[in-house]
Amino acid sequence: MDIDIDAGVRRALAEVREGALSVELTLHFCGGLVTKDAVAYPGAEDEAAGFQRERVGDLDLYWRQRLVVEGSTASRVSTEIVPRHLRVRTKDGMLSAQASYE
Amino acid sequence: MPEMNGDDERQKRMSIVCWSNDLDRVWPVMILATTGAASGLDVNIFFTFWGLRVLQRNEKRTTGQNWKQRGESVMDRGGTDHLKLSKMHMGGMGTAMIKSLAKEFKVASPTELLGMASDLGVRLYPCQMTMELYGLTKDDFIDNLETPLGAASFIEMAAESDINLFI
Repeated sequence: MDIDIDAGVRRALAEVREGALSVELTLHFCGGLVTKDAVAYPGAEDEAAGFQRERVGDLDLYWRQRLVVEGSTASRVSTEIVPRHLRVRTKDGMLSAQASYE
Repeated sequence: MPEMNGDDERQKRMSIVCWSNDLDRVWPVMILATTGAASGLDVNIFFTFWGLRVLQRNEKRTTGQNWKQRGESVMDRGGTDHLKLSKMHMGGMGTAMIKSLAKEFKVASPTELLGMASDLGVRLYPCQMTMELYGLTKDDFIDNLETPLGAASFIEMAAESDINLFI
């Protein structure tokens, strides 16, 4: 997976003295479509909850891929699907993530 | 994936024939295949005739061994990045508009879905007869494909499936 973290993200994390970043990726298999969601937030996550840790420069990135299937009561964490590219940037002062599977 | 504990509890199987390389047919094939696999189904896709072009590498421009096969490949470019709508293509404008809408609504593209299908263990079978007809070789295709199949082998697979779709 190619990971691209913008300088603005590093500055935003440095301001709150945080050395870790977490990204939760979700694929929704619902309503006749497959849609993608990605949420980024400061701080570390629990590897026991399926988060994988990657060192990116001076940051620790924790990420996991969830699958939500229509009709299922719970989502599941997938280790099979891995995004090919992950970009984290700041947008309107907030962290924003975008995953591509191409 | 669910455990298989004998015939009664064997993993449900879905087999899909992808016959077309129209965007509006390939998209549903990929959505159904990935949704099925994400739901725990064992999924096979058999790519035949026009549908075989879906498995072609996006960067491959011309394929084939003789002028007829090469000419066909130029007229009908393969790869998931080059799929066109069967209606309202309008010289590319309609297709571009649908792709743009999909991106806006964060809908996974056919290229992304094909990669996900492979990740989820969906088995992708090229049609042997169509490969010969188009003069396509293994090098023209994306990675992680199964051994090419003929009609008889697909029928055997379909006979063992709980869901069979022709799209």
